[in-house]
Amino acid sequence: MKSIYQILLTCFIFAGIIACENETKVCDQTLRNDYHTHLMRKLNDKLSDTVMPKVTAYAFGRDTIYKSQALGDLFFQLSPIADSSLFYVKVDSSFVPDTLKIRYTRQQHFISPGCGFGTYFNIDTVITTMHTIDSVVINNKSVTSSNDTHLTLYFFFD
Amino acid sequence: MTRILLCISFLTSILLSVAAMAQNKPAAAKTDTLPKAVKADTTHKVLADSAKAAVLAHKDSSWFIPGAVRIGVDLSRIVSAIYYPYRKEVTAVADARINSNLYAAFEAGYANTPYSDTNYTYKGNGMFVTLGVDYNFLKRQYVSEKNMFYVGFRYGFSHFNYSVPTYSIKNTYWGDNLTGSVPKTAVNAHWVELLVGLKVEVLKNFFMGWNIRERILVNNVKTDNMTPLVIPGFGNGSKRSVFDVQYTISYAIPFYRIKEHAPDKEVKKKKIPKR
Repeated sequence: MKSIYQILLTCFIFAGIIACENETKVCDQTLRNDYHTHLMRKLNDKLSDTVMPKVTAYAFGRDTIYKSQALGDLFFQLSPIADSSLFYVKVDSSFVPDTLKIRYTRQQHFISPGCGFGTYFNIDTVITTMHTIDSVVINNKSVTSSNDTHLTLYFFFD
Repeated sequence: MTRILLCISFLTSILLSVAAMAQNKPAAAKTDTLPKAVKADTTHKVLADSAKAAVLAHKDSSWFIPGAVRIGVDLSRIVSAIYYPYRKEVTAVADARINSNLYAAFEAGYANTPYSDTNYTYKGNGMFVTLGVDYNFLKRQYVSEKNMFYVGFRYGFSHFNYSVPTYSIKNTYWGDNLTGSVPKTAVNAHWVELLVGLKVEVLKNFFMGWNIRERILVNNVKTDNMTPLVIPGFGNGSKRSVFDVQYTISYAIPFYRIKEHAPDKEVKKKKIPKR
């Protein structure tokens, strides 16, 4: 009798393991591949990471992403149906805002059976006004996750 | 590793009871045949066995063992289809005895993999074959015993098609719902398998068995924008290596015999003490 219970218990555990392994049921990967932008400033000829006190940013014609927040990194979602996205960026309430135009190519990609499809971006060009921004550096052209830093914005203040 | 241990314990516990019965049944034949086979060099006596395969002992110390083609199906695919509704697979297994311990093994099957959820629909189907050998490590208790504990090697090949008729990508910020499709794509997959298992004769010529196996994919089946959900006969299309279990029932058709020679034994010469 004891052995029957052992067999049944093993069956249930075994069945549970199989059930848990259905990879279409679980999306175990992040679907976010936002355009990760890092902010840096030059002060007394020294470059350093910075946190801007009141960052406001949004894509033109869309909702506000950040509204007067103290930030050192910005994350922008790129449009999956257009080949470019245009963003409004203002790093302090007293500064003149800049626009950031990101041009890219898109590729639909199968992420996993549980997550389905997503879009990968490959950056061609970044065009920006230079009211407050001094320069930009593209760190990584391939936007497949939000972990990497894709762009650095430099601000030079006295 | 935990999975392997669980599988072994589960399947072994089921088969042990069956195996015990199967081992007991021909016990009478064992006591009858084994001593006679050894002593039978001069008797030419035909030995009885349950499979009616003649087991003869001759002066040259050779005898016949039953050869058979064993054909069956893999029952684990039924369980698999319950837990993975998008994996509908049928697998036929067969093996044929080459010599006393070596078996040629063959498997073939067909898989249909329809899947649909809110993000995408997937259609796939294809066939597969595996070819290889099994080597029996079980020491025979009697000459006609067909139970086996074996390790095996397989080469697997699958030809299959897949397509994604529709998929959608939602973007909460831009409010865009991008749709698309992946056209029908034909793929060949190659893999190798290592396995270990049991086959037990539970009724006359009727076998039940299980095996656990590790499959290693040899070629790449992924493309830049798509990975097949399932490779027929292999399993998960996104993995290079998969573990699997088979639980088979099969029937042996004994239509040939294999001549087996007694292993050579060195006869030690007795030393005659000098006087």
